[in-house]
Amino acid sequence: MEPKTMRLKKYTGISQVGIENSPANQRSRQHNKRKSSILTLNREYINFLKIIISSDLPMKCKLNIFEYILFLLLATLTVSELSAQGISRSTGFGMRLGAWSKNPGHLSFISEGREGEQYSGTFFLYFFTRFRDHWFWEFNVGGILTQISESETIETRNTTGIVPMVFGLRNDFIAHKNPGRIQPYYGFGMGPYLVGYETRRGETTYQEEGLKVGVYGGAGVNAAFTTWFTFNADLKYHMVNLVPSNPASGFNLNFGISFMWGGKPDMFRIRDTRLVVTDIYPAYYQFYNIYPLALVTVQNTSGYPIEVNVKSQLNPFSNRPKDSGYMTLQKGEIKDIPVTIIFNSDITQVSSREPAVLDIVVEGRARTTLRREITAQVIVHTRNSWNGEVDKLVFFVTPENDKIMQLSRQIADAVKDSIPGTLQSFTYAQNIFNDLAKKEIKYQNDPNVPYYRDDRVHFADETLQLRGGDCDDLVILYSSLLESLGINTAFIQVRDPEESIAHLYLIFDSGVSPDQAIAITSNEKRYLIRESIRGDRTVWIPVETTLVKSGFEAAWSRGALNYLKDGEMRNGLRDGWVQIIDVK
Amino acid sequence: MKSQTEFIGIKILIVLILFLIQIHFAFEARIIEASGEVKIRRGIEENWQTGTVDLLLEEIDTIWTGEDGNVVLQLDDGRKFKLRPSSMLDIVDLKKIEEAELFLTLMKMKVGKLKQNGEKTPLRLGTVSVVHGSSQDTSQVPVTEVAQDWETPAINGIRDLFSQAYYPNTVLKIEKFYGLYQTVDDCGELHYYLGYSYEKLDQSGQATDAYQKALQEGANLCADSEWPGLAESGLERLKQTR
Repeated sequence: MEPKTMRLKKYTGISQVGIENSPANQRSRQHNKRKSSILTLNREYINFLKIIISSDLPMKCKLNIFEYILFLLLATLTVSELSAQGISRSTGFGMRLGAWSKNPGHLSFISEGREGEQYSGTFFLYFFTRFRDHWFWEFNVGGILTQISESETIETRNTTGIVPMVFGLRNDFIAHKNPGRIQPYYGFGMGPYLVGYETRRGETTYQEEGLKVGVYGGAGVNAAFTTWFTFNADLKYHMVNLVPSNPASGFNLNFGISFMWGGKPDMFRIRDTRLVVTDIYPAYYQFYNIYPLALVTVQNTSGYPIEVNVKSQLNPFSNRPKDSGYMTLQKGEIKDIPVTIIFNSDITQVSSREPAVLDIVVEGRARTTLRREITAQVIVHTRNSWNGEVDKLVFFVTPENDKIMQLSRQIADAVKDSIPGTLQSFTYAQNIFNDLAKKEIKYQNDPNVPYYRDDRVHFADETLQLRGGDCDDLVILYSSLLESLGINTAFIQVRDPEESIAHLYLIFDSGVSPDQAIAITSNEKRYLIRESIRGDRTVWIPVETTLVKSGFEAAWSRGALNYLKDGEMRNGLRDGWVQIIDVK
Repeated sequence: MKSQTEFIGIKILIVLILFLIQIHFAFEARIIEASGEVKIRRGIEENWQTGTVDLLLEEIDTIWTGEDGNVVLQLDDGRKFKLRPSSMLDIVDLKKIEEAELFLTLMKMKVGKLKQNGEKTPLRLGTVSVVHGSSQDTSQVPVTEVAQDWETPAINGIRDLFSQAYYPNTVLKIEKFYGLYQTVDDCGELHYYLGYSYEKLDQSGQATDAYQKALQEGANLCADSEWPGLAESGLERLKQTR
């Protein structure tokens, strides 16, 4: 069996169930529409660029138009769908081109200043690698060349060449809140600047060069197109020789691209998967709808809030996966997510013990969705298996079974006109028990099966058909018959420390109030007074169901005696080895 | 062969020891004096039989005295107990109770009365209407026809326990009695007994509670009763000992 393939096929089937107008399809169409509109827009920019380049406009004008186009491209990106996970890769390199100026208002390739016409150009190569969360180490090496010409009197040309080799830190400061495509950042650093000046005044030339220490600080924005490629705009202020008045200190505006690689940090991590239930007992399949079969411990490792959903199904006993529902995990948060199952009707027909595969898919989403799959094996027992936990025995009580309802009503109808309302439940219970004796239902021990290890419990109709059963079978039969008439029942479990095996019998609610108990018996040791679900106190009758052959009186006496001796005299109730478990 | 005999001997000895232990733990009482109407009921039987001198009663049995009945019981630990007229007592109520055992039992009784979480929370299903009807047949068994007055003999049994200084037994019996009857119009008498018994057992907190209940019941129901006054004295004593 290939459970994964099977599951994937099923998933595909489910996603295709729908239908043209399903929300998922609509989202997908909208996404494609947006994508194509971005491409069309980009083509229009390129055509416009070609027109500009081939036009007769002066170079200065062409270059400035080129800058504006780059700005427009970035602006377009900001309004486009945010579907990336920020800068997700760990390492990258890039290149930037741009302009330099002492005055931030003149950040163009060509500008007119007080000192004259300024030409500037910069080129940078940079390398970055993730330091922690959204902090990156960044190394920049590049060249800045500026030339200021003034020709009012004597032609003067000041040329400055700077080669910064700076090392610093960059922080994508909104990534933890918004892991989208556009990631603004700030950065700072320091390093050596190789600076060279040349001043030519007429025929005179003055040159100077040297290595200076400088610092930089700035901000920028990365626009990620894919996880491995981004556009970049970056503005930095370089303070060479740590003096703002230094001719090499100034602003630097760059545009560029970068390529990234390396491990993409997982959005989440499955820290642990614990099987809470390794053995599934079909009789309590409804219980597993709310009780988790497993717990998946998920940790948000993304550095921003994500939503997590767990889908689970048990093959081949589920028709569809069950979702835990999306829950938010804050940055770094660890959560145990319960895995529950919706069973199909096949589970109630299991006749031999068999393994089953529990498929768990953990989905994490934050703009994009990431899936992780886990499988585990569990054992599915037969429909009649019981693990010995007495509170689970209530799942074998089937008051709604047709045969059971038919029998109980037939017996009730035969006596209902002859009994006063007060004693109705008691008389019904009495007659039902005596009818079982007439039907020759008898006690039959389960051969060679210890009580607390996967006992075999028959459903009420099966015990009727087999004409007998052990203590738990007979308790289930009698309880089902009484419950089908609306008479409340409870099990009494006796785990006598002096006995090697446990025992089970039953009490039922006679509906009689304590002050009317004398109508049933004059000996208050033959009953218990318990609070009913409605809150009133009523008389409950203990019945030793294994004495089915001997009739109601004998079974009641033995039940009362057992309860009195074990529960009261020997303090079984106080010490906890006698327990009462309500069927409701 | 010898070792086999020795082994059998050891087994017999163990059985004998266990039997003796069993005898020791199975509480019994013997009637040593009886006059007037005295009846006993064995375990869960419905019928009463005459109680005569030398009759051995087991802890599961019940003894009852008529209006002229008096009986003295010899308990198996050597103590004697006198049951006065119109009283009823389960033999188990005379069993010697250690204080620790008493409070463990009382605690369990109180815990048992607590509602279990979620047990009675109804499931709301918005689209489904479920109606649990009840039979319109309201015919009742007339209480007057069948009811017997067990309350008075039971209270008299408690009075006997209290007057003979069986304080732990008094406490347990009263707590069980309230479990059965819940309210008793006795002008605070039982709560006074409870308070005094707790006081004697050095349980001043529970004694105060019981005395206060006796005061309330006395004030509400019967102003001329002696029990509120006695309860007040009890409270004063407790204040002084603090």
